[in-house]
Amino acid sequence: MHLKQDRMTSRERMNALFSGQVPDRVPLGAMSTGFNTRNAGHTVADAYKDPEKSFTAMQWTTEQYGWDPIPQYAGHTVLGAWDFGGKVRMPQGEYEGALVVTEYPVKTEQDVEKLVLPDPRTAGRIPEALRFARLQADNDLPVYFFSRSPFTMAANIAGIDRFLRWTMKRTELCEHLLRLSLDHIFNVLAIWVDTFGAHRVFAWMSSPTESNQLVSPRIVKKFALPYHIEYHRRLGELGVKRFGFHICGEQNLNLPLLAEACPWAHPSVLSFGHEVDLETAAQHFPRDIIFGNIEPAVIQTGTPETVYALCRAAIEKGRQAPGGFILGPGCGLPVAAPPVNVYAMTRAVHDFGWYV
Amino acid sequence: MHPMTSRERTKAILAEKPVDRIPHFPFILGFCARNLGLPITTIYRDAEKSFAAQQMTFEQYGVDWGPIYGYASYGTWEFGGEIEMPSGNYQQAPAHKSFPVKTEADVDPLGLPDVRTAGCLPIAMAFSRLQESHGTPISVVLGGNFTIAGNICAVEKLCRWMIKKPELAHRILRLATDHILQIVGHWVDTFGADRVIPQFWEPLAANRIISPRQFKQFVLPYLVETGERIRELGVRHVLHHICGDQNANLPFWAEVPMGELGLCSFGEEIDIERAIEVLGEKAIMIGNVDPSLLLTGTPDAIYERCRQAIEKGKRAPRGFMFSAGCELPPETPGYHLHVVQKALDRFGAMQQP
Repeated sequence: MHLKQDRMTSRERMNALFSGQVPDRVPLGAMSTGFNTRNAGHTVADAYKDPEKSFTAMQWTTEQYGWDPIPQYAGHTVLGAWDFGGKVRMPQGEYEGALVVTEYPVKTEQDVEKLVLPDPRTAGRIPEALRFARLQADNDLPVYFFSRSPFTMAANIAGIDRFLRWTMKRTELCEHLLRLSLDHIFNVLAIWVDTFGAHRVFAWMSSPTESNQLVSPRIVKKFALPYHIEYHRRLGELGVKRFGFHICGEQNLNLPLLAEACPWAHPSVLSFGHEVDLETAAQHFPRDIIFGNIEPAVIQTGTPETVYALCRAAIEKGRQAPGGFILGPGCGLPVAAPPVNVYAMTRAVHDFGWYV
Repeated sequence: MHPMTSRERTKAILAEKPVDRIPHFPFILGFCARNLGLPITTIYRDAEKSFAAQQMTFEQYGVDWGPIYGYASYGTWEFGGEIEMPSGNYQQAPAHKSFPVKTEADVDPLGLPDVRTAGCLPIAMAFSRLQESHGTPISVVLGGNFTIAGNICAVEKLCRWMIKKPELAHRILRLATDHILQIVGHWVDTFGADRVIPQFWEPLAANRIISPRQFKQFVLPYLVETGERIRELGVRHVLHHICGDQNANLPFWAEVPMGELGLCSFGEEIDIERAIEVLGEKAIMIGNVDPSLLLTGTPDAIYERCRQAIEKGKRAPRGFMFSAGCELPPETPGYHLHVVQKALDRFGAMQQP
């Protein structure tokens, strides 16, 4: 591998990005979990159930591909289905990359009333996530706290189809689930802040269920946006400064709503799926760092030449973003991505990503 | 010194000139297919895809020399038998399905295959044309004389005949030798003697299969004849992969002509210091980290074993290239090959004059 020598460390590059300075080159993020453990000779499930293996695999893979730590995590810190008493199973086979819900905690309207807030220290895989976070802290890395948006988490408690039906017919049930979701996120986040200090915690959120492939912007405005606003008010009260938001999937119709409310501190990292044009994203969010957005399906099934060309085009657009730009996949890096395609992203950053 | 390109490094080592770091010689085939998300069989069926997969993987992991085409069961298909291409999770190379010689009566009618059309040779030729157009070493890869013979009639039969029917064993070895010479001649005619570096992989001559006495009687004469005839063709370098445990054969290998400067790659069973002692004056040494360690070892253990091999190999008087002791298993975790690259960068750097 003949890559140009970096002129900044990853930490310097991130600090430059967050302080509005120009880094040496476009940073490269990966949103990678199971790809890491496979790359280290472990299983995809190890990414979720074995924090030590997952962490070392992440470190090794990060070093190998020259990724910057934006973001680094091994799955969600808090989960809707599992934390609230549902059942999940570990990923299996060649292609599964994440936990699979096998039973939702809420199956009927009556179940909603009975639902109680989970123990923030023991629910789901929170203990494993905390061990992973300690490893990040011990290695002087940002400590990521990763949740779904309250809307997505609420849908994961009841099942998406049921939850979306209730947004039409039983709005009070939705509100109850949304409230529980938000409170659970902050109950657990408080532990992270107590343990590591607010200055070390990097909060990261994703909102796939808010995509316009599933819901209209009207639903987003009514059910999702108020909780985004409250989330950021409470995040600010906790003193957490760094925030990243994966605005997953097709959310073009939601962008004006989010841009108008824009409840997060600036700059935050805003990550987009391939469905959103990077120029559009930068126009809506000029004070934030734009992250994205190579289509994961192309990373998994395309040729290295295609991935390289997409990265080049993304870099050329993204580097014009006034708030800064990070190259990365448009969603989680597929566990079955051919490594040469992942390397094509590294190669592209080194060939086209230099600022000076 | 400015870092050398892979091509410059390969050229320098063959010319016995200084290199910036120890080159990484590729013994990496099915892994390249996996690295691109292709079935392993692509490496053996499709010259263009095979070449491209290797080239991209070598660039990613800093591997030198250039892509190669070949497999250890060479000979079966070419002499009229059948092989099956690798499939499933663990097969990594073509395997024998049906040998061309099944009985003693099959030996006599056996003739020499047409080197333009037999078995994998058209794919190998297409691959070599890619090597030519990309300026990488043109390396037709064949079994060694004994290995081809063992791939014609099954090695257990060959071993029995060496004891009970030596004339049959010699007849098959004769055919294997003539076949090798015809192929090398064909490649020399096509590309020129100065561009061709034949590779002979000799796993079946390992001492787990035959004794050194048998090696001397049945293998060495054919190796010597082949080496002499190839030298007469004007070929400057011949590579022998001395696969497996061949410690007891090493003194005989020293008698084999290998061109102006040979290349000898070794399995992990042979200590590189011992190899240098016996063959270091006539060949570039290549080797030899245990492929199973690369597959299943810890990164720390791999790094340390690479360090040991590199530091021993650096003392070779006519040059050293790092390599796995046999083919890198396709399932090797990508990070492990990255560790090899790190070890080469750290310990393989050469002081410039």
